[in-house]
Amino acid sequence: MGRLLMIASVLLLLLVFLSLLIHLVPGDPVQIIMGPLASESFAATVRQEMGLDQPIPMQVLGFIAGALQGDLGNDFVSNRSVVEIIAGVLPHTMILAVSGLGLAMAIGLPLGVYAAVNANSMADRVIAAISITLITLPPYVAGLLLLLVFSVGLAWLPALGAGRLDEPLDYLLRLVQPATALALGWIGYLARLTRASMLEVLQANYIRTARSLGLSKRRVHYSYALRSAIIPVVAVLGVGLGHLLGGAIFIEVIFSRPGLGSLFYDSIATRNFPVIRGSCIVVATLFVVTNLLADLSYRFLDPRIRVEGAQ
Amino acid sequence: MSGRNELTHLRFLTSRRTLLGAGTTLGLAWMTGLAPRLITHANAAGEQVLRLRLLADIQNLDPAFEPQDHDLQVIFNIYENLVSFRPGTFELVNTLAEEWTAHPDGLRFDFKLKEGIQFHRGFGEMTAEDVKFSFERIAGLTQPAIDSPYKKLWGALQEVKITGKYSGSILLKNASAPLMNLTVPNNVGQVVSKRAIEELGDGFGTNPVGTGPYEFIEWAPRERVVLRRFEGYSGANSAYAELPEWAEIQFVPVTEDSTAEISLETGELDFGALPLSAVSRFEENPDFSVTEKTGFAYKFIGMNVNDPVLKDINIRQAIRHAIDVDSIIEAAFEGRWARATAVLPPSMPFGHWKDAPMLTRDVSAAKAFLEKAGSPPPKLTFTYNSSEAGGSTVAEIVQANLMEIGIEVEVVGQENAVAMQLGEEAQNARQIFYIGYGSQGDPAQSMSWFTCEQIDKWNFLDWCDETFTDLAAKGIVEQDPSKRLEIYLQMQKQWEEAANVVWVAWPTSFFASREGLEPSMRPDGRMLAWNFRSA
Repeated sequence: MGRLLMIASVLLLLLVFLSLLIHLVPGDPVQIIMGPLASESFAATVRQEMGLDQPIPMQVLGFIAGALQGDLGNDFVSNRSVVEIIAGVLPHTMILAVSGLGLAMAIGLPLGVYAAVNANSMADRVIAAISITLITLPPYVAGLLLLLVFSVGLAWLPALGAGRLDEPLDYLLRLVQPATALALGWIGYLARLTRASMLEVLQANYIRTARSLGLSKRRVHYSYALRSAIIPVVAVLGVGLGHLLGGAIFIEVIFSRPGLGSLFYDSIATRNFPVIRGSCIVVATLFVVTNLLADLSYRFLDPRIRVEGAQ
Repeated sequence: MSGRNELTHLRFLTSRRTLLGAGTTLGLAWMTGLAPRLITHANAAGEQVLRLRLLADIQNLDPAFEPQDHDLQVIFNIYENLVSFRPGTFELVNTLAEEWTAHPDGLRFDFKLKEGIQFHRGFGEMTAEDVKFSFERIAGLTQPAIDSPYKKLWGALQEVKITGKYSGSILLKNASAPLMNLTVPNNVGQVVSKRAIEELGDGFGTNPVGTGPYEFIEWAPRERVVLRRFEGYSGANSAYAELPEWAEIQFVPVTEDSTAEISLETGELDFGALPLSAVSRFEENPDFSVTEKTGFAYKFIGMNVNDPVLKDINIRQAIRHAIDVDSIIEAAFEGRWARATAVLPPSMPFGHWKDAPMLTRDVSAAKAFLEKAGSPPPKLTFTYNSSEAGGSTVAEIVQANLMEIGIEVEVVGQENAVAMQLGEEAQNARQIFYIGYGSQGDPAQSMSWFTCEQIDKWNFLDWCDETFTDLAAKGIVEQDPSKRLEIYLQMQKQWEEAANVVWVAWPTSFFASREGLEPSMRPDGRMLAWNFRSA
């Protein structure tokens, strides 16, 4: 309950901040978007539509009240509601972020386990070198390298866009490179984190007991050790989704994919405040919700937390 | 028990190995070209598709509201004008109009429409009623009135008088010479379906209806805009163009230049704007041809003439003589932009001052002007808009050039909204600045920002010259082309005397088109996608 209240407070503070954002940064959004040709009457109409002609406290209250009812205002350039605009692109970003995270987990976790089980071996050192290289590789550089190899050099994969959801194969092919570019850094990070966590767990008495009972190495490592070792990794993944959404901005721009990231990028460039505010709210909400889910998943993964919680 | 588990596990491994093996084989087959290549240029029906780059996504395809150039590139295919520029030239040719008569006083234009021109998607035949609605709507004369940002371009409109189902007259309150360059053949002169706007309301901007060679099919935000060849097209432009060739045109927003280059090379785009850094590479590539267009925009280094230091013309002249514009063009624009010598480029329909003086860097002359000014000026601030291409390089060169004559310069890169702030306070903070202005193809618009009325608005020079301002007013109403030309030449000379700018460049755009594609452009460098042809 306390945690839910904290989340509500965070989101409320964010709403207040976002409603004041337009007054905190210099420049006139109408002037920036429409340029010198915009007539004064048009500028006045837009300011009225954005509620900028009202006292600031009324603007804040109006924005919060609207947001709580799912109304994030209108984009005065396209005359579309901000909710409609975000809803149109959000699925693409979610698919990209989840695919990136899934790929990172699918490769990073086994690499980490393997490195821990074979600690200090040549394989461990190679994995460490690869992991650190991947961690230091920014997603946009990874994206461009992938494009040069797989789109230009080999012509295997399309470079542009997300494709249509009703053409799943095409959509999947267009997802491969962006998801990989997004995942690469996290593969290295998860591998290092899992290795460290696994090394600690592998020293535990219950692992030694499992080994002495003759259970296969694979079973001990993946069914027993990894289950405990993964808890700190899950905590990082909760925050990680937020970082992936941040990384998605560059990836979506480089691959010309529709999504929250590219929407955000374009909106900042044109000072489209209603869309910037709406995108911020959605990203922040996703961030706190995934963190909450990560917290809740500890109970599922570690029975001790359930028991302590019940006591 | 344990042995049984191991056996099951072994089976699983065997099965997984089989799967991995199969996957690897398929992958190798794909690598070696057994699998089909993924990239095609046909739609689901197997028809030819033309794919073009937009520099950013569209936002509104209503001619009354389209906010930026990207939207314009699309709407030129959807809507048509009574008269248009013949592709690649400034020659006015009839499109929707069968007859077009301009009265000598410049207050009346009579038109007679071609009959039987249909709007897309069954919105019926275009009539004079649609023409009246289209123009008066932007001028704010319809009920309920709309607030179009382009209202000023129809500011002289009194009314469009309908004289028959297919005929009418455009009546002006006062003569407006730029009307035939800026208004009638441009987006604000495009004819929309009155019925469609009434039925679709605010949704019209993302679901447009016109009479053009292509009709709007789909907008997938940040992904593509799809236009389809209009099967009911009247052929209104048949006097100067062939029927459209492509079954479908897709406009793909690609913000990132590197991605655009890659997409052109992979064949995912057929045509698109290039960054300056990539022009040479594409010129050398036999699979592409490169088209260049110098539009009507202009870039300059300006000086605030009301600044306590810069109000001294000797200081301004010293700065003008110290700056090495050729080096700026070379370093900031890869030597590819045309060096500007005045406000109007040679590509402008008229008004280019071909004998304008071209300043060359002369350090001794600059120092002589500084001596005339007396004591050397205190540290000056040079601001540039960080979103301006090459802005930081321009700033660095100016800083080095001025340091050589003893003027210390602090360089400040400003975010777009800060750099473009209007008002007295923002103006007083400006000293030397690098800026660019655009124009749609009439000298009146190019110079309109530097009149006295624009002080504390877009006249960042803070320069109020009564003669210049009077001439600007005369240039708008003058109907005689030779007298108009004389007015704008005189205005440029007047401006030159004020010595408040260093002309830098008339930006040039470069476009790559795949071999075998013949692009079609307006003189201002905007695509006419409907007129692209395969060689």
